[in-house]
Amino acid sequence: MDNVLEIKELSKNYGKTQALKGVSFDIPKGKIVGVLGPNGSGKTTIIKTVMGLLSDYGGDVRIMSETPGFLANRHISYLPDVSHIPTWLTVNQAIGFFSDFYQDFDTEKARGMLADMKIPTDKKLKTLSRGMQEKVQLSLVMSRKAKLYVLDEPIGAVDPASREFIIDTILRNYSEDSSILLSTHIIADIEPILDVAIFIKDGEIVLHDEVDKIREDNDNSLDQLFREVFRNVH
Amino acid sequence: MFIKQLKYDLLFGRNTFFTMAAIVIGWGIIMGNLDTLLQDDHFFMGAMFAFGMTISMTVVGVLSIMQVFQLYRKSLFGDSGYLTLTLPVTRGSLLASKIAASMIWYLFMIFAGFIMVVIMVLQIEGAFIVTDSNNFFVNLLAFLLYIVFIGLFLISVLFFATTLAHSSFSNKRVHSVVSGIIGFVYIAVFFRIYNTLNQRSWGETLVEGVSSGGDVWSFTRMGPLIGIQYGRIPVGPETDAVFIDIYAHALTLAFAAAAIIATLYLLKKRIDLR
Repeated sequence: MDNVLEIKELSKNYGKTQALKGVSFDIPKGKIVGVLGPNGSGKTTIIKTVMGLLSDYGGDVRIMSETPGFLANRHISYLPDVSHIPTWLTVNQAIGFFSDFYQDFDTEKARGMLADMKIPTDKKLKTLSRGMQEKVQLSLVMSRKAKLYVLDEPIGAVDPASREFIIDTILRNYSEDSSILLSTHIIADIEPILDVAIFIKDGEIVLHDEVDKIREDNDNSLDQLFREVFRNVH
Repeated sequence: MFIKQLKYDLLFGRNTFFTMAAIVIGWGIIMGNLDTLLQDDHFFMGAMFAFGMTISMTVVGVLSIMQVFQLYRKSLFGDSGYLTLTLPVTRGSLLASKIAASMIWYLFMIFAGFIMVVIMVLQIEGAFIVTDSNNFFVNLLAFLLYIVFIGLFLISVLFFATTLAHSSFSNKRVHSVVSGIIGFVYIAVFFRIYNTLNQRSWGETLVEGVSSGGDVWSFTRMGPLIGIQYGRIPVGPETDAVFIDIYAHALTLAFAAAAIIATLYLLKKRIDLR
C-alpha cells in the first residue's frame, strides 16, 4: 500500500456555508504534507473529517484503506489545535491513558522526552503553564509509532522559540515509514521540513505539488508564494 | 478496553462525589443527634437545621446530576472530545462506559442517602426495626430494581439530549434548547404512560417509598413502591404479598433502550464536533 491517506471529492457544509468543495489528495508513505491556508480556509475541517469527528460529509476518505472511525484511529496519532488531554489528569496519568489505549505507544520514549523538558510528571496538567501543557501533548502524540501523524496547527499559538522546539521534536520522533499531515498558516518555520504543499482557499485546493517543484516553478520560496496567493484573504 | 474506559470515567468527578456523600452522611449524624445538640432552643433551631438539610440535599441532588452531565458532555463534546472520540474504540463502547460510570455514581449517592437514613434512625430510635421480616429482602429487591431502572432511564435520556445538541442533520446543528425540550417531552411521555400503568403519580410513589411508618422506621413501606394493581407478579409470601411489576419495569427498560439506541445512532452517524 503506497498511500497512507486517500481523500476523494471531499465536501462539507456548515449550514449554508460550504466549508469544503470537492477536495482530493493522497498522502504517500513517508511524506510530510502541509495543508496551508489562512484561518477559515477548511484545513481543520479536512483534519476533523479524517479523524471521524465530522460524519455528515460528501466524498470518500480512506486511512490505510479504512473509513474514518475506530479502526482507522489505530493508525493515526492526532494533535488537535486545542488542549485535548483532560487537565484534571496528572502527567503520569496521561501517560498511563495513552499506554492503556494505544498499543503503539512507547512509554519510555514519552518519559524520556518529558524528562528532557524538565516537566514534572506528578503534577496535574491544569497546574502546568499553557506552554508546558502543549509540550506534554506533543510528547505523548509523537511517542506513538503511528502510520500517520495528523497535526493541526502545531505551531499556531506559540512563540518563535517554541516553534523551533516543536518542529525539532516532530522531526526527531517520526520514523521514515510514517507520514505527516500538518496544517498551518505560518509557513516560514515549517517550509524546510515539508515534502508536499497543498494550498487551500475557501474550501478548494488552489495548489498541490512537491515543495521543491513549487519553488522551482515559481522562482520563489513557499512562504513568499503563500503571501502572494493569500494576500487579500483575511 | 471497556474496563480501561470505565477506570478513567470513574476518575472524573471522584472527589466531588466522595465530598457530596460525606455531606449527606454528615447530615445524618447531625440530625440524628439534634436533641443532644440543641438542648433548650429546640423548635426554632430544629426548623433551621431541617431547612439547612433540605437545601443541602437539594444542592447535592442537583450537583450529582450536573456531574453526570459534565462527565458525558466534557469528555465527548468538550476539548477532551478530540481525544475521546478519536480513540481506537467503538462509539458503543464509549457510550456503555459513560452509562456504567454514571450508574455507579448514581447508586453510590443512593447508598450514601441510605446510610444517612440508617444513622438517623439508629440515633433516634436506638435500633433499625424491620416490621415485616418476611418481606424485607423482597421489598429491598423491589426498591433496588426500581431505583436502577429509573436511574438508567433518566441517564439515557440525559445523554440522548446532550448528544442531539452536538449532532447535525442536513448539515445543521440541532439547537441545545430544542434538544432539551425533546428530552423533557420524552421523559414526560414516559411518566404519563408509567403512571397510568401504575395508577398513581410518580411523586406520590416516591414520597410513600421514603416516608417513615409512624413511630417505627421501616423498609416495608417501600413495598407498594413497585406493587401495582394490574399486570403484577407476586414475589413475596402469600399473605401480604409484595409485587414486582414486570410491565412497569419493561416499559422503563424499553424507553431507556430506545434512548440508548438513538444516542448510539447519533454518535455513529451524526456527530459534528466543532
